[in-house]
Amino acid sequence: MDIKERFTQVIKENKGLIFKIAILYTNSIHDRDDLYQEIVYQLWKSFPSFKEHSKLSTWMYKVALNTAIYHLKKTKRQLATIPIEKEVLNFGDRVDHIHEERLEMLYEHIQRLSLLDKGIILLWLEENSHEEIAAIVGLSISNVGTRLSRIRNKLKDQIAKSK
Amino acid sequence: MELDDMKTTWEMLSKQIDNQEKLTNQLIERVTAQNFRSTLSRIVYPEYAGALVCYAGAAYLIWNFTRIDLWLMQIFGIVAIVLLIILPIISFISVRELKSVKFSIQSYSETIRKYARQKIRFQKLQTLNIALAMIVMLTSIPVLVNIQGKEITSIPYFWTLLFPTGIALFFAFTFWVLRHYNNALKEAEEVLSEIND
Repeated sequence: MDIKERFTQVIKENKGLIFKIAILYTNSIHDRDDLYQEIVYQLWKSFPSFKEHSKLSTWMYKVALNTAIYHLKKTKRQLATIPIEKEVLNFGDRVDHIHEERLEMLYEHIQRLSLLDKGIILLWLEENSHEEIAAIVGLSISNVGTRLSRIRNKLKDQIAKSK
Repeated sequence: MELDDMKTTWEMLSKQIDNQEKLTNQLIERVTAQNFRSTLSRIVYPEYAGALVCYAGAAYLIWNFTRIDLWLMQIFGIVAIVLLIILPIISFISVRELKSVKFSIQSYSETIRKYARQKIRFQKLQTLNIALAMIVMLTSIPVLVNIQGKEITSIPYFWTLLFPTGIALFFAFTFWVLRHYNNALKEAEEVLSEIND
């Protein structure tokens, strides 16, 4: 299997990861698709230097999250202040209004968090362990734990206030 | 919505994404092609366009320098030429920083820190750019008039209308830009203090 075939397989197996990051760091369909494409491109660029012995998901999260930060520079917008286009979250064939509403609310709450907290909560929602989050974010495991509980409290407050 | 609900909603989103065929072979084909242009690299296009304008202006002044007959105008001309050459260099410094980012090696917090620092430096450079642009404008206008073989005082309404209007517009623009920069600067500083927390 050549490098391109291997890359295609890796991307296809992890397309959800890239797509979810693209959703959380943008607020319009155009930006979302732009970021999605950019992440795939940055992954392709660094794929030859990816060492098989390190964890694939750690490498992917790093590239995808780092690309998302620099994509903010391109859009030159403050995500938290601009409402999301409804279509950004509406990509399924079946329409489940309750799920869409919940998704919208979840998006809104996460958007209010800082860049660092947003990345950490995304990794937590993705079921990553504290060790994995620490490796991707570049903090100590204990710091991740402290921050996670702080973020969870912040989200609880936000949710309570929005009720 | 509770935190557990958040996780459930996220899981549903994951399933939904896995089920849809958003990613096609064509996208990977396009991205892996030799001639694919990164959208991030397009950020630098306005910088290149600005540099081109500055260098064209500098070339025009150098080309016509012998036609400037007054010594004061010659000094103004030299100042304008030097600044027109320096301004793009300042912009290119920020472009070079963007290109130095290692997406696959740096950790997320490291990238945020670097991004915020770059933003702060960029805002400061832009403030310097505005001040220099003001000097370029003030020095190049009389020089350009002199190159045309005219006296600045011979232009109708120059001192009474054109000059004050130009200055007022420039100050209004500068005020607006600086206010925007200061807000961006504050945000970047907040990001840094939050990450160092």
